[in-house]
Amino acid sequence: MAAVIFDGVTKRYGDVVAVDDLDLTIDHGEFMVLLGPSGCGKTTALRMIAGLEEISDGVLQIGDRVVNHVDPRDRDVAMVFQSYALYPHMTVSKNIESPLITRPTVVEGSDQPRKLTKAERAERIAEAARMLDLAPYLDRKPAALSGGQRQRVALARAVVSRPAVYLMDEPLSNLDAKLRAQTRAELVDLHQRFGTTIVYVTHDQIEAMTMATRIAIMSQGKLQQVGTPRDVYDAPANLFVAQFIGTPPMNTAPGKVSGDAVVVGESRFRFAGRHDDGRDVVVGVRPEHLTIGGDGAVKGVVRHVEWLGYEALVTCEVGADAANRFTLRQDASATPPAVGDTVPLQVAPERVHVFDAASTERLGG
Amino acid sequence: MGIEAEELVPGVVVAGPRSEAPPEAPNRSWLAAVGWYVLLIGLSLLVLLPVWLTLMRALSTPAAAVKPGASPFLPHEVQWGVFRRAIDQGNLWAALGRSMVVTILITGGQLVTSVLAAYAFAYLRFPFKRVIFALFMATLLLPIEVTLLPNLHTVRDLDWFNSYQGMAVPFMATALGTFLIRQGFLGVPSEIRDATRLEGYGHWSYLWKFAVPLTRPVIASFTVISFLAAYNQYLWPRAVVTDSNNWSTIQIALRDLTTTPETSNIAVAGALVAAIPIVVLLILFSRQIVQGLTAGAVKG
Amino acid sequence: MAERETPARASRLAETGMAALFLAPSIILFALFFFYPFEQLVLRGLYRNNAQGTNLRYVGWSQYKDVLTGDDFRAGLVHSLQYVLYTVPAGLILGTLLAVAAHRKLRGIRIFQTIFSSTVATSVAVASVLFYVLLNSQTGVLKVDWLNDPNLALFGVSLSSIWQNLGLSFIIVLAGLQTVPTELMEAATLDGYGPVRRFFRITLPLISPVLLFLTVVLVIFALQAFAQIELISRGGPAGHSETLVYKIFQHQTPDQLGVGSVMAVGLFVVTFIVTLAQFLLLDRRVHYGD
Repeated sequence: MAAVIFDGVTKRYGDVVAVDDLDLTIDHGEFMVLLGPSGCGKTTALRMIAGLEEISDGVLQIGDRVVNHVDPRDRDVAMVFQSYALYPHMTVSKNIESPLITRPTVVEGSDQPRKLTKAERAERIAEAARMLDLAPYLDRKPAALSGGQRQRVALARAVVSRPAVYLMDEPLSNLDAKLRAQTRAELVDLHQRFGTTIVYVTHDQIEAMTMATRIAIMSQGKLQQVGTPRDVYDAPANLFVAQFIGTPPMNTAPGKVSGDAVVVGESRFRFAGRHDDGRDVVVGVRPEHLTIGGDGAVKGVVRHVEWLGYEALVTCEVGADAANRFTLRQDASATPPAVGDTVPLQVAPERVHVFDAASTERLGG
Repeated sequence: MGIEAEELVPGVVVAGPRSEAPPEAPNRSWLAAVGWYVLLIGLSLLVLLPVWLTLMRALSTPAAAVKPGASPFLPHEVQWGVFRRAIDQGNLWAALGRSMVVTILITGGQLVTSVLAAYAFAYLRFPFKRVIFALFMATLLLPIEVTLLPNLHTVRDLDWFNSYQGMAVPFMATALGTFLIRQGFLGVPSEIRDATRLEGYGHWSYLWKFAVPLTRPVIASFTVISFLAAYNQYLWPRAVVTDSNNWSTIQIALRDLTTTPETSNIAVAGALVAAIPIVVLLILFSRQIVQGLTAGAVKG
Repeated sequence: MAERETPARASRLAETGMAALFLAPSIILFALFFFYPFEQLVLRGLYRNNAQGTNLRYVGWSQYKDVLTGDDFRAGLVHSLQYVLYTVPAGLILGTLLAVAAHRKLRGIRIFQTIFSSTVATSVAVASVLFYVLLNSQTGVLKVDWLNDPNLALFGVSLSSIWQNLGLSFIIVLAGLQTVPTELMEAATLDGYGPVRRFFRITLPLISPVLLFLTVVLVIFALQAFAQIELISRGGPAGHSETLVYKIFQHQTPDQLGVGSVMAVGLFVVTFIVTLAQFLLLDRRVHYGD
């Protein structure tokens, strides 16, 4: 039962900075997803919470405790690994019991952690197995289990010690698509039932959007934005976040500030923020806010149509520059245009995002 | 395969394995198989020939076997008592017992020292790690054949001639074992070690409860080849055993059986007795032996 | 800052201490039975002794020069190299032959594989006894008199090693053959390669690392030959089958120790070159993660 606080935490490997001056407060009971492309430092951040990586600089707190030099076993955290890290030579039951053997465990009715008795351990194993539908498999070895069952053993092994913080490192990446969707729902359910803090690392934005109470997006060791799934989607803090979140990614085009508007090619969008005339900006529009229709001021030639059943993705080229491609999302009920057609395009003006071209930061408005 | 490929790529003729074989092919492949069996049987006979010839000689009465015209491929005036005589004359049971003690000491010692050293090299951080590892590997350049004379001097100073410790202790550390087991440890996924750290297992309990059980195939094949090498040793026990009546290992005992050509039937019987433990080992652990012997040759 | 770093440093120290403890048994044994004797060997060669093996006199490298250029060492070296020549190519060719023959999907092939690898169940001593009986002119199994022929004695002895190495050579080459992907063979067949061409153009190049490894192993075995000599020919006739190790073994007495030490250093140099080749070979194929 604890918050996790990064205060200026840095991790260096020689000259390489894996995590750069990270400030992040993960509140008690939160489902925080650390999201970013591979190599962004999210896993390193998670492993620092676990105590598996030493902290080069800064202070890391779990609850009221500074844990920079606390041994992993004494941090009261449990981790679910990408490969599950099940012990292949032990039965499911022994795997689940493993965290209870050497570590003192907090027991209800007492503040002082102590080692559990054999009976208490058996009770905990049974409880975890019941919760994760593992009871029939307790005597099997991991090799005799399916991928989904192994994943549940890994969860059971985390649950059994009732830790203050759960750490999860891409735990769904080895599951097939169907099982992944199912397990996402189960994890959310588990989180609501326990109300414990979960820190979850992934590069998959769908996992982040569907499960997180808040998402922390990282890139190249730096925190880019923290917010609810809605915040980061509707108001991305910078161009990286704008393009990382959302599939297909946000359309962008260069523009310039002109008075109270932004000019992109022939189009003007009203822009409430006050900025210097002539400032270079990047304008972004999500595919669902770009539609076929309107006055025909902007025309595009259809280059690609991907019909997905529930919707169609239409890619158009505007002007002579082949780099000026925009993708729009069309409802499945509409008849998609044919490749080669010239179509009028229109933008929902209130849905336009504006970023500074130099700093890539979002400009107010 | 051929059919699938043809269906997948219509209009493209796929050469090679066809669904319909040419009419004479079954006949030819049948002939080829018979020819191959003939080759295999011929080679088998060649490999087994030395054992067969000497076994026939061992079973024959020496005088009958050397008579002019006596075929070396057949026994003459069979006498089964030759094994009993070899065992009595060479005192082979006692020698076998000593061989077992020495072998178990060496293999056991090698397992302990190399598991510990391998763990240090695989999991612990300490200064001069690379240099120390290189020094370990350098011992591969110093076989007992090279260091024989000064080692004999050392063992004489320790008064270890004609003793188990004299035969075993110099071989209780091994670079090969350290190397192989270290490779095994490095093959354990790092997430397993991470998980045990979170669960509170220190180095000592991780070593015995996780690293060793998870490296069992590697350790097993090393154990078997270590056993094989120790049991078959000749030069060193030959040098440190001066009281051969009381301290010969089985390999050295064979030497005392080959003093005169006239009793060569007894020598062969003794040799076959000496080979029995290894034959048993080979039958029980052939997979581990193959893995151990090819560990350096083939990756994986 | 300084205070915060202390626990990390303490844990490093604990780890180093643990490493020292884990390495100590090996280090002590290696020091006592590998490095110390090697140092003794090199140093002892620098001293000459009198007939009683006492009264050591420092003579620098002169004894090295005398022994290494002397007839005794040269004869031993020549015999050892002859032994390499007799056993290594034969081992490679026969091992490959057996492995190719047994690398086939046929009913009962495992029986043949077991027979071909069976000689690994014999020790050098066992194999030597069998060949002592086979080759001895008085027992007359093979009805030859090679052991009394100065030109053939060593060759006769080497037959025991060739035979004894069959199992090992077979196992190693077969393991190599099993790593050759069947797709490659199928592709070559599609390209119209016959079995002989397939073997020389594809199989042989692909298993060449394995053959190189086997070569090194067989060379080292041959250089270390001792029991075969002692049990089959006793070095005879008239020293014509005395290899380096056999000669070193003869130099145990205190008065011979200086000369024997120099010979052992000579053996070391020869072994060093070959083992180094093996180590580089291992190094190339094994990943050193640190």
